[in-house]
Amino acid sequence: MVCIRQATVNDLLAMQAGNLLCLPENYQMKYYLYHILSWPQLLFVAEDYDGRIVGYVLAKMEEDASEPCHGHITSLAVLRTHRKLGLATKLMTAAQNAMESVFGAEYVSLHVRRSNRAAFTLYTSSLSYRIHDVEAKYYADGEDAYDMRKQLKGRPHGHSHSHGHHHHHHGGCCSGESKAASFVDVSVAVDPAAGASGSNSLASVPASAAGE
Amino acid sequence: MAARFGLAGGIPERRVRPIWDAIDSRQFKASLKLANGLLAKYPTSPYALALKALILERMGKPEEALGICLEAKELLHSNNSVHVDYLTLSTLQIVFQRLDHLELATLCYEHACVKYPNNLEIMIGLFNCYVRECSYVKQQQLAMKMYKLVGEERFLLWAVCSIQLQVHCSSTSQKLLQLAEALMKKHMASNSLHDPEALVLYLSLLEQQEKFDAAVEVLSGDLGSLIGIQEDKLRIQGRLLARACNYSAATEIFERVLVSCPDDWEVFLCYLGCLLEDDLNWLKMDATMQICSPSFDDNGACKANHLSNDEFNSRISSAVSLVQRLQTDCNGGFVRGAFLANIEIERRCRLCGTKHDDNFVEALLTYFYRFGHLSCFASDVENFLHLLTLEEKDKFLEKLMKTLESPPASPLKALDQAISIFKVHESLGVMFSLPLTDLEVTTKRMLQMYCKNLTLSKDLDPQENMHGEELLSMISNILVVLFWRTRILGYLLEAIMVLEYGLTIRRYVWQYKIQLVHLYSLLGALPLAYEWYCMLEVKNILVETVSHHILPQMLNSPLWSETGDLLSDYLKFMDDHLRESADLTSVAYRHRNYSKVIEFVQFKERLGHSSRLLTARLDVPILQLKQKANSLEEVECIFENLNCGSKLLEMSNEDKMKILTFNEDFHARPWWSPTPNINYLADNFEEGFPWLKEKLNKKKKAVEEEGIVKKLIERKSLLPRLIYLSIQISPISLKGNVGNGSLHDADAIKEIKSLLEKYARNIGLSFDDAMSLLLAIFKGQKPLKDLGPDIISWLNFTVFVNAWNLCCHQLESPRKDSSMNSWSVVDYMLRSCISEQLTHPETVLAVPGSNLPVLVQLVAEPLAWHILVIQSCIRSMLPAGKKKKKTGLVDSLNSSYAHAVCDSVQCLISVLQDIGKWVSNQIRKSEDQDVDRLLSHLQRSSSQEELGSILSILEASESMSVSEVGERISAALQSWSAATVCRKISAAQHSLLSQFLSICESKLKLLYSINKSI
Repeated sequence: MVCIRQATVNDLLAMQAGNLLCLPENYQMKYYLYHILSWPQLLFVAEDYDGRIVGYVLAKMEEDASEPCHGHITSLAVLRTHRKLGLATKLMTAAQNAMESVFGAEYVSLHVRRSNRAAFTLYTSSLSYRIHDVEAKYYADGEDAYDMRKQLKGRPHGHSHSHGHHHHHHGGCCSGESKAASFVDVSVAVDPAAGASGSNSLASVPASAAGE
Repeated sequence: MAARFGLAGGIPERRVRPIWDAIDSRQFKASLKLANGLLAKYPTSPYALALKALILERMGKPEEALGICLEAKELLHSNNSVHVDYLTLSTLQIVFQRLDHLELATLCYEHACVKYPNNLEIMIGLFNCYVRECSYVKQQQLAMKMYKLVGEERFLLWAVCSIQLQVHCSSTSQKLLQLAEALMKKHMASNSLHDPEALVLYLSLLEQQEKFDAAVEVLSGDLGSLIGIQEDKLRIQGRLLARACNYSAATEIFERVLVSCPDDWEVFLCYLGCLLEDDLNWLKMDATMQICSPSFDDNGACKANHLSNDEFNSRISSAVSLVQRLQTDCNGGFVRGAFLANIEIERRCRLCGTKHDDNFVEALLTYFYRFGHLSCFASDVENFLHLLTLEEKDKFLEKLMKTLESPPASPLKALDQAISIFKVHESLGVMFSLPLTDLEVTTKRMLQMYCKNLTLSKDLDPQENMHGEELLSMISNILVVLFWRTRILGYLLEAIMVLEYGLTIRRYVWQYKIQLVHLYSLLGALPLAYEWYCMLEVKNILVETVSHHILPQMLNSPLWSETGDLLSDYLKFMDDHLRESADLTSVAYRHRNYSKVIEFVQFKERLGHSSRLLTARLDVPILQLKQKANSLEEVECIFENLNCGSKLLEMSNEDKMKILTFNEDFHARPWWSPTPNINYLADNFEEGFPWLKEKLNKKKKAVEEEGIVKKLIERKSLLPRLIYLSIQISPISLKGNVGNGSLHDADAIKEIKSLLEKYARNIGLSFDDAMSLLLAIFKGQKPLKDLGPDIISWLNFTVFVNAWNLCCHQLESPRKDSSMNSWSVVDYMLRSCISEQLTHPETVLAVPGSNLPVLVQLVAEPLAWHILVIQSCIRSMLPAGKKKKKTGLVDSLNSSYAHAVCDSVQCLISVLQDIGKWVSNQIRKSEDQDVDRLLSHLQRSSSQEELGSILSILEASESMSVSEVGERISAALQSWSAATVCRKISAAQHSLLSQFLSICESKLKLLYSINKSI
């Protein structure tokens, strides 16, 4: 009875609790919030019977205008009691589909620990990700990360109701402020991942718990 | 006015760039130097000032930064020729925000908006200021102004969103929604809608006004295509139809969702609800636009059913056939919903009495045969299990046990299936009724199963969960039951050993750590509990949801500095979050996620009104008072910063209590302490199922807890002010008759009386009844236990009553019998309560959940507050400038008064000496002696010799070879030792007792010196 649905802000409490149960990494609150307030279409939770959150995927659109439009999987977690049910695949597929249909993403990227065999297998065999690069000492503890990518069909974005264009120019209500903020690292409005602690692992994909 | 190319805040960019770079690389000193240079050249540039303020703030000089910001603000306001641009305003805004002066930033923007009307960039900046300050009305007005100015859809939506926030968050009239609807309608007529979020916003406007048909119409029209995911659209449509009481159409829609998402349990329940036309109260949406889940316990649904039997049966058959179709479609997969649906259908039939009860058990069994090997099986069926009668339960368990005789071929599957069966036992509470010997055998078999299956985890990564991990948690739970039923300490120690053993093998098991936190707290080894809690690395929002595992015990302990750390970490997180969230709301506006704006603002309020947060804000000053209670001067300093405690009083006012939220996650708490205020192990075990069912109803207990917490908050908010007033008014009595005192004194006396009345009501009696009870106990007419379990609050009350009585003499007998004064009542109560705690001859170790926390609180609270009252009296007795008078005071003053004080001091000295002796006795034994004693509990003889003791099974596993379990597990097994754990326990208990002893000793020392001065 697992329903994959878009996350709500209130789900954050359960998502973080789930994180404690199955991930060594634990993100800052504002990191989750930044994701859900910016790209709510890309956050999915697996809700089980009785409203229990048993898994989630956190994803975002990369805002670097110098690269082609693409999404990034930030975090994926499934509770131990609900492994081997195909939930990680479902969550990933939901996020990937939304990247493509809502934002017109060309590809999706993620990082995974070199040692994380279970997650690596999931990404390569079940989800057809390929290694794009290796990032040396990506994680705080010195471990390397695989930079993995998956090509999406790349539906031309901007059709019907696409949101995409809003994210690439600073026409929104914080526009000018981010200019001012960019050199004072106020972080929260800009990119909490980079500004919060400076640790690279914040932006990583601790998919250790995602093993199918 | 706008920044021209190459200009920043009216200054050439090349001059500013080096300052930006220096700030970016955190070279604040260098950047300050550059900024000063810039200011020399542009002394009246607000931007140059803003930059300097920003640097100063970053350097930790908030006052200087504020001064400079205000200077810049003055310039903006006074000098018309001064250059103002967005960059200047936004830089000032950042500094003001960091200095917690959002309102000053808003003033700057408001001024600029007047100066440069119709400048969109500045208007947007001002809008963001209003967003940060949650000024929904001003947001709405400004957004409308921008919409009228440029006609962009997003500004209209900002306005509509602001209206919704007014309705949701500030209980403004729903009529505003009509206005919002009209605005959107008008816009749609000429421009249509282009954004899915705009549609969602419009639909929510209609739904909130209960215009369901209109909403369905919009959704079914062209605009419906804006919602990209078809199932999402159908879900909304189904909900709207159901709310419009169009059940057959809703059923059809939900059926369509199920066909494409057969595992969507919530939709299945909606489908069944609409099909059977249940009481659909649950379908009301909550504030965040989500469907509220149907309540499981609510049997009313079917009782209210008005369908005829035939009609009911025919609809049930169509549900059955849909479910069968779904099952066929997803056969072989992991889709469980369609199979669990059978059980739900049987449950409904059973409630309506239309089918044979056996079907229900059969449905559960069928589900077990299919999914019994999944670790989610037990939680899937948990709610259904509670509906079984005793007879059905036995039947179900019997059939489950049969499957153990022919387990699946795969050892992993066999293990998982066995675990599911044990979990079912656990949730049915079998451990409370099984004979003790059977229970003991079960635990040992489970432990053997765990050890035997370690081989399955041989090749797992260290971060991966071990196979059979749940077994150790369950074993530990059963061992605690065994302890409860027999009071044999050994079981409790075994429960600890099993978990410690599990953590030696894999140190990431969160559940084991939580269980240990509670067991060690119970065992008086709080420092060890705290250590495990720290290893959980609870941070971020989890400090809100999870800290209940440790904080309550810590607050009642002598571990003051660790408690202070926990509280300040928590408050820092919450304060940071509440500050930062102001900006996060703007993120949602910027990304046009309007439904998220509303969700987020409500979430922010949920956290802002947290009961845990309010409690922590009260706990901090109370802890400070405890820590400084030996010095009247330091206590008075604390009160200076607390507004004499009156600010805290406001924290428990009725409005705050009404909106209090409870965010704790009690799910992981042990069965014997479902909430922080319950500890079943403190009471004796009683046989009997209904009694247990009531006790173990976690949801109900959590609701009861809310009432308890509200009372607690009220008490805590009264406490500091009562202490303050007690200190203030005690000396008044020395000035003679109250009538001669100043007006200020009279007010204080009046206030303390009214607070005491409130306090008495809080602990359950009227003021007069509380006084009568105290006097009756004092006169020996009633026993001490009539005070109930919360003796600390009662004794606090007694201490404050004494302080009040010093001025009013209400408690004295007409004969002025000195033994009847309120000092004697305090002395008597303190002495009797403390000596009652000391009569237990056993050591802390032998009585888990012992009286130590009560003793600690008695000393740290009422006794400490009473010493403060004494100090205050003595200070006023001593003439100014003659603090060290050689002759005693007794002669020179109202002698009965002074005698009472002297007696009280003597009384406190003697009780503290008694406590000191008791504690010293406990820690006199060497650690080795303690370890031996603990180990002897573990090596006690057992009635099932052939199985050996728990300890022997654990020790036997040490011999498993590297080839069997792999290097990592083998090394862990080798390193495990029960004696080490015992040593840790003993050391933790000693450390806790020593800290308590040193608190007692410091108070004794103080009392000796007071005694000498009198």
